[in-house]
Amino acid sequence: MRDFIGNIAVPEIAPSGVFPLTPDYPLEVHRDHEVVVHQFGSGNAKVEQRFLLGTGARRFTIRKQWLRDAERIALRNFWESKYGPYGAFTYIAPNDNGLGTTPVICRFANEPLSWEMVADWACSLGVTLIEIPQASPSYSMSQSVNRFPPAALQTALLSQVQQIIPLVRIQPLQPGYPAIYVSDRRCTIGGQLCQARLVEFDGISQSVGNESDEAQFTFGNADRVMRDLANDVDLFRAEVAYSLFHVGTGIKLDLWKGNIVNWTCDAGPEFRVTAADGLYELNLPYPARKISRTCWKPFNSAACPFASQGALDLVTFPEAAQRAATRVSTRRTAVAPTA
Amino acid sequence: MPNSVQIAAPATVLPSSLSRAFVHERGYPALDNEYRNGESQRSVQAANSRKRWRLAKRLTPAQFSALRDFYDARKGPAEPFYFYDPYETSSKFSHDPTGQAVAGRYVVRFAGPWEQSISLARIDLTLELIELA
Repeated sequence: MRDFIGNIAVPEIAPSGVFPLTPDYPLEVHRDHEVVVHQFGSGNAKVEQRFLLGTGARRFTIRKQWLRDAERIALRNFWESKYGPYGAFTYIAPNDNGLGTTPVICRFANEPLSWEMVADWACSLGVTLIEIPQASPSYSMSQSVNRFPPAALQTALLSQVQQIIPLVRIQPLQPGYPAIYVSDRRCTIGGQLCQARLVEFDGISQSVGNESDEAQFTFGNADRVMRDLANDVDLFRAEVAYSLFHVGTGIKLDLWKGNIVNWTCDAGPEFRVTAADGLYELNLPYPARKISRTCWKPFNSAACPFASQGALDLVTFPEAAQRAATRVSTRRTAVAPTA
Repeated sequence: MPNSVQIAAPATVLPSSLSRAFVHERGYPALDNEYRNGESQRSVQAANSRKRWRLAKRLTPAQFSALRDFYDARKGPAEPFYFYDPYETSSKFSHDPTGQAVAGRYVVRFAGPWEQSISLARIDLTLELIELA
């Protein structure tokens, strides 16, 4: 089933084709379990706490010291057919025990394909294939608490091994708009799928004075889904809830909640959101209105009497009829009635 | 309204000479996000790859002089010219100094600085070429 962020379908890249080269020995496979280690002074400075950030992906490095021209051309054409790092394909990976093979869905690493000619009919090269995970973990949730950890979690947090998953829920103000559940990995927690979309978050800052809380979240936008989301719905003042899920106990800690006060995106692969709590607007000298690409007026209401006075510009926006049939006011697609 | 920048219109061909080392590289301008368990989202920004060549040459003084003159006439990386990838020409290692043959021909410019090392009767140099449209 296809994933959606709000009403935006996440593009799927279907695997096709089989990697054309057979790897030589020694086979190089790399996997990096990312772990953050905090070292403490007790126990002769041997006590540490380790936070597992993620399992990473398997990386297969395929080196060919002496590749014949026909194989080079086959690899070159295959790589071109996948648009380099974009496409997905099957790699027939030899098993660790040296007996048989296992098909693995992979993509090329985001790096140039390069070969050095060593004769007029042979070259040497190396390529890195990255496994695309086909399954995501699922966790049951035993308890959901607000901000302060219960006794069970306090005890569990003393363990040396920890795994904590950040969760972000975005609920736009538009009535009926689906909530968006994302994390820094794809996982299901308490039956709720959280899609991999959270790239980074800056520490939520709070102060003793009368300033509002602030938080910054960076979401992946390489596939332009977040840009399309911002075009689809007004994200200004959308509710952002930040939670931490403790894998060991199954307890979800709802840590912070605020509203989006700004978002930015550019030609790069990131979409940055700034959020603040309710105090933010109370501290403003006057109410700010955001100029966004979406119209603030409810579609087909007294403020926007489309049915009686509007018309769709189907020449410039041929998709407008379909969009208007499903929802929403977009000033871009509707020709505004004259006052 | 300004229009699109014109495509490169080369008028000359890189002089032919053998290479001591020949590296071909190609890449797509792609965006990707990678997440903790290896998930990713990707998009590609072009319909075909951009090629790049890294050549190391050991030339006689006469060959070197011709190549240096060609580099100077192109004002280094400023002007485009044709380059024949010798492994892609219709008969391998063929070269058409007129630039009419299409197979293996690429529109390129110099990339990177000019670097030479002079030995007895031979001059070593490295060249980097990058494809243009």
